[in-house]
Amino acid sequence: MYGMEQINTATGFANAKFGSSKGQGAKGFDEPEIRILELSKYVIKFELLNTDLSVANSLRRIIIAEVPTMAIDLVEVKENTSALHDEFIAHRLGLIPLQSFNVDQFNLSDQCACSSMCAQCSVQFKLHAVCSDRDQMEVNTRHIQPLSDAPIIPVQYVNDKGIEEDPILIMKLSKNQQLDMNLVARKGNGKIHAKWSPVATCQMRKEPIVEIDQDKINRDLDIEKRKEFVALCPREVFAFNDYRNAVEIENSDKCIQCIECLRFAQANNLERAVKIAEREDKFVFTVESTGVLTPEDIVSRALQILMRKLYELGTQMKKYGVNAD
Amino acid sequence: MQKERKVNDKVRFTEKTLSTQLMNAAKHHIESFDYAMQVCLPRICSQLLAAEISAPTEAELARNKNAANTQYPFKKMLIWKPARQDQSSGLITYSQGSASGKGSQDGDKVYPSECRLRSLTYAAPLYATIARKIDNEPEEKVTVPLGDVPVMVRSENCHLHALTEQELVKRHEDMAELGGYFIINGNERIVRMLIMTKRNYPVAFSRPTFINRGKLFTPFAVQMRCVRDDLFAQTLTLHYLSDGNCSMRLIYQKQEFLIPAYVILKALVDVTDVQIYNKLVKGYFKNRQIGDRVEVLLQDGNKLSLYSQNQCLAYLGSRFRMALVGVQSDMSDVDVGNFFIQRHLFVHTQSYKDKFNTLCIMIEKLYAVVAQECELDNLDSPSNQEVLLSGHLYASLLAEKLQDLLLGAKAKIVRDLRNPNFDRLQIRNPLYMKKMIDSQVSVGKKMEHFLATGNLISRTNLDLMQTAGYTIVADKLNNHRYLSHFRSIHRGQYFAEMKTTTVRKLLPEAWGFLCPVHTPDGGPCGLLNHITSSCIPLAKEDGELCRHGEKLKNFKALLAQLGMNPVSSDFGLIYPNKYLPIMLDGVLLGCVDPQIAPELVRSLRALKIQQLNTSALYESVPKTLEVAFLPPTFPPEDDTTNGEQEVQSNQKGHKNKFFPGIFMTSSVARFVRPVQNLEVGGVEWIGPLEQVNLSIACLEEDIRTDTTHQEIDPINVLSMIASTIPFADYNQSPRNMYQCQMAKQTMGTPYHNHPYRMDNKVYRILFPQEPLVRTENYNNYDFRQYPSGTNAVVAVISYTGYDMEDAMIINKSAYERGFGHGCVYKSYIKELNEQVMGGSSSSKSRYRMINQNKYREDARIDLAEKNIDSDGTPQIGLKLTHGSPELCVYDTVLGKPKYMSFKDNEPARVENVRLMGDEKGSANNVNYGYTIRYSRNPVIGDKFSSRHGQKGVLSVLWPQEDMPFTESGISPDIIINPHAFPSRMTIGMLIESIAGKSGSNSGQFKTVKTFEKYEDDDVVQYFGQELLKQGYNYYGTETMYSGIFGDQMKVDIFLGVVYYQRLRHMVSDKSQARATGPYDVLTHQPVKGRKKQGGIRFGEMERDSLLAHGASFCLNDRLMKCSDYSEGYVCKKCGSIISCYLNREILKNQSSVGANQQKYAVNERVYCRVCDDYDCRKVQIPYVLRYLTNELAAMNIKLQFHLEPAV
Repeated sequence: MYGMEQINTATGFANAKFGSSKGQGAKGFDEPEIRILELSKYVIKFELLNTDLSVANSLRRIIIAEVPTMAIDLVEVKENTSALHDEFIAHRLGLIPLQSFNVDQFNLSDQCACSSMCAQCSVQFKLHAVCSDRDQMEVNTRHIQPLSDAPIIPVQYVNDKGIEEDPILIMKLSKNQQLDMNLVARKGNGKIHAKWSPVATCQMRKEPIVEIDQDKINRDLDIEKRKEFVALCPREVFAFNDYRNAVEIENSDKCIQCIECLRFAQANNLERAVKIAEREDKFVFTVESTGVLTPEDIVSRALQILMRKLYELGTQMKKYGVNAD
Repeated sequence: MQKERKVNDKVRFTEKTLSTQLMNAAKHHIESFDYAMQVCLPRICSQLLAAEISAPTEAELARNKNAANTQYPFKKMLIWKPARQDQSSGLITYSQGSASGKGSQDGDKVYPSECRLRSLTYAAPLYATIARKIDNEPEEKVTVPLGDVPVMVRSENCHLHALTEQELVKRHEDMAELGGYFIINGNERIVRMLIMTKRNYPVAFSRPTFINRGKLFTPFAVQMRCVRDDLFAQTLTLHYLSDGNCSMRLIYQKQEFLIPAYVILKALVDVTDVQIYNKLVKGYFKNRQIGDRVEVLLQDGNKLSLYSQNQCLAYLGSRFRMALVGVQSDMSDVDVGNFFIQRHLFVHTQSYKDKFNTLCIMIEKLYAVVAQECELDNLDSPSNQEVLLSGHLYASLLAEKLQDLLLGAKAKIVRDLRNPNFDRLQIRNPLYMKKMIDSQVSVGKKMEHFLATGNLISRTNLDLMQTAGYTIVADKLNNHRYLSHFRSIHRGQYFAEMKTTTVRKLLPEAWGFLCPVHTPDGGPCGLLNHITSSCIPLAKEDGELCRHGEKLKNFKALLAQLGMNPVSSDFGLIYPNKYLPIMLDGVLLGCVDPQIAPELVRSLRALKIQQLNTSALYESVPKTLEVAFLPPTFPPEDDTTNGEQEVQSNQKGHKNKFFPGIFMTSSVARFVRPVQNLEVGGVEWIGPLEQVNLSIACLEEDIRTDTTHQEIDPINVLSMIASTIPFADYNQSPRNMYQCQMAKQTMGTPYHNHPYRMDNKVYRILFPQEPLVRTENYNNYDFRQYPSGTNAVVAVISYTGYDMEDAMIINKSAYERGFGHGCVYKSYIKELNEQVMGGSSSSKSRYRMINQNKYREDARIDLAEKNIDSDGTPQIGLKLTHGSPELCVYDTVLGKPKYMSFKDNEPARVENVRLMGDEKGSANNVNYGYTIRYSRNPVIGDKFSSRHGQKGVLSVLWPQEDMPFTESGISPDIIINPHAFPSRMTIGMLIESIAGKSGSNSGQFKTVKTFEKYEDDDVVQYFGQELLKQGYNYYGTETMYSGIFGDQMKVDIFLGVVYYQRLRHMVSDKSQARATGPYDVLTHQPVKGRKKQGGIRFGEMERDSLLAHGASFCLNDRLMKCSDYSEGYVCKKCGSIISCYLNREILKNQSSVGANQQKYAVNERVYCRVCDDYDCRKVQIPYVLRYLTNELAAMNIKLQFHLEPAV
């Protein structure tokens, strides 16, 4: 886990600003703010503060579907004597995550100036594997050889201790089978096909608020019932204090709003003793990268896309005389 | 193999050997075939009638007393294993024909995989050793080939018999090759099991139609289907006549015969009428009617003037002499009578005494039924039924075909003998006999035809009810479907047409034998059943038969020890009426006092279970002996009571449920199933008839004081497929029936040996998963080796409106990552060198295949341009679209290549190409087989289903970012509408969902059991607690956020993991639309049929609805403009539309005068031939109207059309 300052300087999206320059939005928010809670090689967890739900959800949607990455898009089969058929292998190859840190230097293939394919919009690979001396061999992402010096290569996963993990298995060949293919990676985004989506999951939630009237609960319920109340919650939001024989809130962050506690309270005539709500201006994001980009990179790229979109929306609205604010 | 495993150790797939339960799924078919070949065939040989030939004409006989009397009996049949047919099939002597003599090399063996690929029949040569005996000379034996008979795969005559999984894979088979089917012309065909009436057991029933059979006939009859040991069957029906008499009816060669019972009784045994009277009445005088009836029966003797056994035999003989096959002209009437009795009356026993006793039992039962002393039997009840197995049918058909062969050869010899130029010495030549046999249609071909078509072409119909529909194709759509073919059992084609639904009823007697869930709905509902997973149709006899020889003697002695009074040979000895008869396989063994009977049965049961081998007597009881003890419910009272009372009580309905007695069965083709015997301890195999009178507890808590048995597992009442439904016991029952149907329509993993099969159409899904939640039987049958679905995260919400009316939404990203991906393979065979339409034999080789040199030499041929390989076949992996060339052959006449193009509209890729010789293996006629692959990833309109009869259609692929998501970031793979549940009540699916969710969280497969008891009888509690521990809501609901707006949806959404199947019904196979296209030549209307680019009928009801809407222009457009719109002329004078035509004379005249541009428009005139006038008007009519007018005109009917000006 890194300190917040470090990250801000490293990726340069501290105090990211959205459209409004007046400092306060229509709903009277303060300056939007991002606070990073956790960061590892593949996962980032951060809070998005002082902004509207629509903005947060837009960010989530962009992270999933609009951050461009590279993925294998075209497969030319020269030789395939394996047990699996061409389309099947091609589909699997497409889903292999490729390191896309340099995705910005490529054009989308339909927006590229070239007629079909060029170094500006595509990266070529070769996949050649022959199983001649063994009964069986595994073809994995290490067999994919780049034909250009572009730094787009299949992701090599590293575990927590920094040790490289096994490469992704593509298929197996048995004796005297071979595979010879030319692969072309192109730029795209998750909207076009899921293989270009940079994330495994992008999770967003409002921060829950859990309040209980301890006095009332501890007064009106007997100890058994109190214990039952604590056990009821699947996420252990509540704890039972053995010294005080009382219900306490232990971890309100964990609440999943299943409102089992509310139901229990209602059933025991304690309508107002339990309150579950959520903060309207604070969103907790967890973004899990597939490895194609670093998680913080995904978020910053998503924010840039969002800003560009909002900017474009603003200019268009101004053009038609609508107040962008 | 061993090495491979080492590499493979990550993959569990090859680790485990397949379960025995899976391997035994079709065992009854294989065993029945083995039984037919090894046990029945020798019996058949000994039972077949020898062809006896005496001198051809009377005159000849007079001239030459020593005219050859030749006999040709079959001595021995021998079936080899399938082998190549290059060895000379000449006459071989017996020693050569023996098993050691064949010594075929491994290369000569034909394996099933080759037959499948080359569209051959998997058949083995059948050899018969025929002995020839002339007068009293010693026998001479010759072995003749009778053609190749189809052989069941994995039977003992198959090369795959007893091979291990690895060996099977080496033979290009799937590791789970079950066998049990035949390969006919490359297709796998199964002889489906068929329900038959229980053999050698008298059943009493009534049919109102019997009254129409003749004078005095009543609806009552007792029937016995007598089956000989070689499976020859002859049904005998004993009719009750209204005067008290009985008449025996039998069908021989599709002809009906009626014989008075008296004649048969007397012909069987030399007894006096008094003895018969005592035998039948047994001193039971209370009910006077029986005595009276027997008296009437005995009067027949007087009427027909038959007083002795010989007279009766002669009577029978004289009546049947002409009808019977195999009767020699030199036989006396008595001989013929004996011949008839031996071969057609009570064929299950040889001894006349036994036949007589059996007939007496039938008569007793008939009189008892008529006197309302016992109830009628239900022929639809499984307790009175047995099963016809494939091998058994095969054997009986083979027997008849062999008999036909001998008869045919005999007829031929007789014809030759009549020919004055025929050298009579030839008859002694073995080659002559072979020639005679060869001139007959080969037995192998006949058997092949039967299996290929399922049509039974038979002289006698083999005592069966139907002539067609015996075989079905073993459809390898997925393993569920494939396996259930072997376990399906049909009631008979005859019942399918019956209007009454009583035969379709699920009867309580079927419990444990036939699955109550697994039957299709619609036409075959209740007629096509499936046997339960525990039910075994006995295909072969259980060890040595206890009804023959020494064993029978021991068995009888054992019974006598247990209290049976054996049948005496003295007809004077009559046991009291109340004594119960003990029958074994339709033969009366003795009688027993009803007081002793229960103890006797109990002892017998104990011996049956324990299988003691301490004494020869004990050993005589087979493990699967069915001991049906049908106790008298109201035993007839002693003679001291008043007879009148008895009659009255009978009228009040106090009657026995059954005709009392102890009926034991040891024969084949019965159902048996294991249950726990609580009295003796241990597993007892029980049959359907004895089950009715046993007290079997289902569960521990059902045990009462009189309970003797308990079910081993309540799941045993379900079939293989029904028991793979998880939580089936929580579903509404019809939903389970739907799932049984849908499991059989699922795209799955049909087999793993794709390159070695050429099935016509194969479906396959590409990313199959084992279900997270499965039943115990799913594991037992190793369905996990052939998975057919995917575990999907399913949310039950009404989200976009795209999930209305059973539609479902699939996550687009899930789809793009491979959810539901699949493909379809289609295979074709083309003949390459004989592609000339109607050509003479000389032009047959006009198109020649694949001459690589030719292609190279000829500069005009550029195969590379057409994407065809240098040998003229397409490259593997080539994409074929409509019209693209897929094959190149060389036209030798025109000297240029001929390209064949791909006809289908849907693009496909070439999976596999192979060249092979024709059936005979000749290289001149090359067949070209190829398999193409259609990529069938889910598209809108494809059908999916869970395992609970919840099918739905894919309505939209919804982007992941727009899908609702949970707090943990999960977005569902599938969204279904909550309305799918209330009316269908598939609670099992909800439970599967939470069980799946719990299993995916803990990373374990949940093996559940139907009818399993959970703690507090609450399955929700069990899985709910698990979910709670894993940090989820107890009821499996979650809070979700809208993917579009990001806000929380304030409802509980049920989210879990459900196994989803993809069904084979796909839009791309069904979509049909046309703007224009082909038209019918005769009617000018659009043709029908999707294949022909035809239209969809706009029928009467559609017309009605447009009329109702007043949409007349639309109607006109549909029915006229888009159909057979035509313009024609009507003569105003005569109103005819067929006499008008454009007069071209006039046009010519006009054109020569007028300007070039005007010549058509102005001067066009229509002439009516009939009226010789030009007063015709143009009208718009449907073309069929013109056709109708013409047709009517041909029948001298004139249609007149009167024209009125349009309003």
